[in-house]
Amino acid sequence: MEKLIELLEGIKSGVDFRNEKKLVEDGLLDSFDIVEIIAAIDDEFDVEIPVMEVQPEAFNDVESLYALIERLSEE
Amino acid sequence: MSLISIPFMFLVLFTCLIYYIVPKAFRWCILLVANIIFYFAASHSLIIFLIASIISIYVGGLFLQQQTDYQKSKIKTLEKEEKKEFKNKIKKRKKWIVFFTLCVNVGILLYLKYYGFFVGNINGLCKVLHIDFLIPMKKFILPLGISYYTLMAISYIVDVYRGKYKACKNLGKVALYLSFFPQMTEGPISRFDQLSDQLYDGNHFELKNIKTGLYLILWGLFKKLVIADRAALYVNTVFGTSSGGLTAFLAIVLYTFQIYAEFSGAMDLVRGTGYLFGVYMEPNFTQPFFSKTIAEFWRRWHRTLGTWLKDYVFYSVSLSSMNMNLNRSVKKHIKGYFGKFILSAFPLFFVWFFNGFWHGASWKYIVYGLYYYFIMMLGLLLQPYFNKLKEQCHIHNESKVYTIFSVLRTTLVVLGGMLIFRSHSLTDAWSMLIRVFTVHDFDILLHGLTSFDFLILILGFIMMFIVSILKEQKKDLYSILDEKSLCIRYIVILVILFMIIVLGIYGEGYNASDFIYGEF
Amino acid sequence: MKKSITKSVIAFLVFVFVFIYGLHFFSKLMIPKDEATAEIVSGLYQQKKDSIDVLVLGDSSTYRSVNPAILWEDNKMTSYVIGASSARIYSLYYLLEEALKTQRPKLVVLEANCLFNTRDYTLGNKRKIIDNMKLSMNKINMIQDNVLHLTKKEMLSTLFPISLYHNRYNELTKDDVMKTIYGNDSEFNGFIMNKKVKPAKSNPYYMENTSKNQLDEISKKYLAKIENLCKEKNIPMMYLKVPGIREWDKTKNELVSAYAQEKGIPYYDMNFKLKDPIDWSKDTIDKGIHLNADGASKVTHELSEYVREHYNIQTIKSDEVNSTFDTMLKNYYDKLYKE
Repeated sequence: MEKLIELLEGIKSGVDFRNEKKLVEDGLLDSFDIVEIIAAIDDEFDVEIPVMEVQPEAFNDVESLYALIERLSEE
Repeated sequence: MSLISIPFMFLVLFTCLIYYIVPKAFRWCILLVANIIFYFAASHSLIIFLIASIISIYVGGLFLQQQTDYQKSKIKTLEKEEKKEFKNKIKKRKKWIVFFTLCVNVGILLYLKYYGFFVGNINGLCKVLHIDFLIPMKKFILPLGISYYTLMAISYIVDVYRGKYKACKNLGKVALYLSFFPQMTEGPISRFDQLSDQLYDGNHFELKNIKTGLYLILWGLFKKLVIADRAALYVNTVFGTSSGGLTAFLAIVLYTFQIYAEFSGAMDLVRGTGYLFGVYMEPNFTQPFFSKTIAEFWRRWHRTLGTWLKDYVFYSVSLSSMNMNLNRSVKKHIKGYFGKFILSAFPLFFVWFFNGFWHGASWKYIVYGLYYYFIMMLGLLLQPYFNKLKEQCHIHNESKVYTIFSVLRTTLVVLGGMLIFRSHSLTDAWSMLIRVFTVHDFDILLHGLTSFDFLILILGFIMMFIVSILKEQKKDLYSILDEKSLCIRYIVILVILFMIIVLGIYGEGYNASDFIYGEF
Repeated sequence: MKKSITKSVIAFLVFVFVFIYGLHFFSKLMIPKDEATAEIVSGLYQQKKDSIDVLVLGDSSTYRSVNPAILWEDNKMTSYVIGASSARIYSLYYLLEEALKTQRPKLVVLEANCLFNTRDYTLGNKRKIIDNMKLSMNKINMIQDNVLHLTKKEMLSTLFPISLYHNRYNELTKDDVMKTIYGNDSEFNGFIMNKKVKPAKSNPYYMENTSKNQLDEISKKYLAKIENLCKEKNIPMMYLKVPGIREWDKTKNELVSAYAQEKGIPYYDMNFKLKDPIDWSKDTIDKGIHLNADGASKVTHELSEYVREHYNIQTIKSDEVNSTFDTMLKNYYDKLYKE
């Protein structure tokens, strides 16, 4: 989880990833950021996030994103 | 049947009356009948293409769902090693289903709308290469809204493929979604999960919806008839001539104003009509001229197109394995910012290409899209340098000066885009641009508008500006109006109503006096 | 609850009322007013009730040839010229109906030129009349009358004239505002005065020419309607033809003469002999199509004498009417002698 937060902060500075619950809804992350994050997750966690999984709910907070990564790595 | 016409008004009125009389369960039928009447009146036999789209996505969706359900049930019975292979097999099947459905829909669109473009280019190329080959040119009448409903059809089938929601088993519901009559002329491009239940389930009569709807319709009529069509008088007189200087520059500015007032006005009419039936449709404009960047502008202007391109082009391309692989190899060789840049630059090319091309079947429109691509790429590339510059000059992003600068900068870029969009050709656009700077021309009163007309335009601008500021501050306009006394509300309505009736640009043409006095 | 519902209903009704009144006001504001027919039709409503002795109906030839100021000067008779450009007999019928709502004339004079206005009756000319008439059953009958050939869209447009004229917002003048508030009217009760001189080509034998003209069924139908209307109200009628070197000939005269005789209605054709003959080199504004003020003076003196000799019209007028017509006469001479 910490690794994920580090990764996120590396991509987008100035956002409080620990506490924010509406990253996408409030416009803190835009579509470019999301693509970068997915690419970085692919690199770091070796997990491919397919387009199907790109829902605002999954990216609104770190917990949901982490859950998504875990789910996909198991499949 | 135009959105602003007596037949349309009667259609809405009667449909509305019958809608609320009929029991809730049957209300969707009334809408479907209205859709058919409207579409048939507008496009006659071309309705067959709309029907083809509806049936193709309905059937395609059902097949996709069948595969998904099959996968779910069978996968439990398989061993771990077999699972992956099975998944891939199903995925492949699904891809074929989507492919065929898209072929039908995109195929029809490409054929009807872009035949001339492709054939023209092929013929031109053959001519240049001295190949004796000529494809006969054909011109087709387009079914109303084909550019809009095709995108909606694509969004449905791709969403079902991606598992965003289950395929709809009800043909009527799918038909309703694709053919909802207010959106056929100019959009918005709605999504199935946002729109279909509202249309199918039937809505209760709520006075608030009717009031909101009527307010929106009134405001939309005002923007279109008083502002947009008035600006158009000037724009149409200047574009295409050899005017320059202030006259030409004002034409570009007024065209931008015209398009914004017209398109957002049309959206108000459409959404207002939706509200009359208790249907909420996504707004297409959220104060675009307050944008600080081009990226932001296209999130606020024609929003539903922007989100469609984001979900179905940008993500599809950027998250594809091809792009990811490209990104990996680029990152290996080029470190740092540029590497990140490529990740977005590649899919963005497609986004802007399609944006431009969707607007029109010609190179001019493609260049229009790529113009914004170029600007955005420039912005992205130079971002680290600008950031450094800002740091050194102690300019904060939040400062008022910088905000105003960004807004002006964005507006100027948009003016450039509008120049391309409105000009007959790219060469015309370029010549006009040159003339703005090289010709002395301040005779703005010689092109169809009197100083009184300009006053009305300025008044209209101020009114739109105030409304935009309120919306930007997330103030709900209708609540504000509702809070005021009945007297004030009626006065506001009467003023706007009379401005439309007296100052609206409609009717027999601007030589009513000649028409009366001309013969003696 | 009940109170607020009644309150909203009342408020809504007030809103509707204000809206309709606003439409009416803006329609009046936007209608072109600086035009002969518009002034004449509007001016009809400004006349005091039962104040007019003689009504003269006709087209532009008439309103440029008959001068109520002179009829007043000669006979102390009040008159109004109900003229409309390119008028057809059926337009004049409806205008007569309109006038007879508030007037009880002692004589109705119908100028015969309108019977042969066969060229395309433009929408503009129809609207000049219709849009200046007040809304009434008569107006609705007129709009719906097939003979006017109005399309459904045009009929609807006459009920909402603002839809046609709102484009005049750029041309509005102070005059428009004043006439909206106080009403449009005709300075000389239907006489349109012009002092220009543009000589006509000499043609002393024009009354020997023949032509292929006919009195068609529609003309006869509406002539009959006018005659019946006058008979009902006990108003004597006469037919008149003012001098017209360009528009009149032997055939037309014979047709009207025969018809009038058949109906037992007097017909006076001024193209034969005037005490003070028209000088076609000095008395016309447009090479003989219409007369100017001098020509009109001659015609009206002639008409005054004819009416004096053949009809016994003596009424005592109120001070107000007396003063109105005296002022009209004064204004006429002021205008005539002004440089």
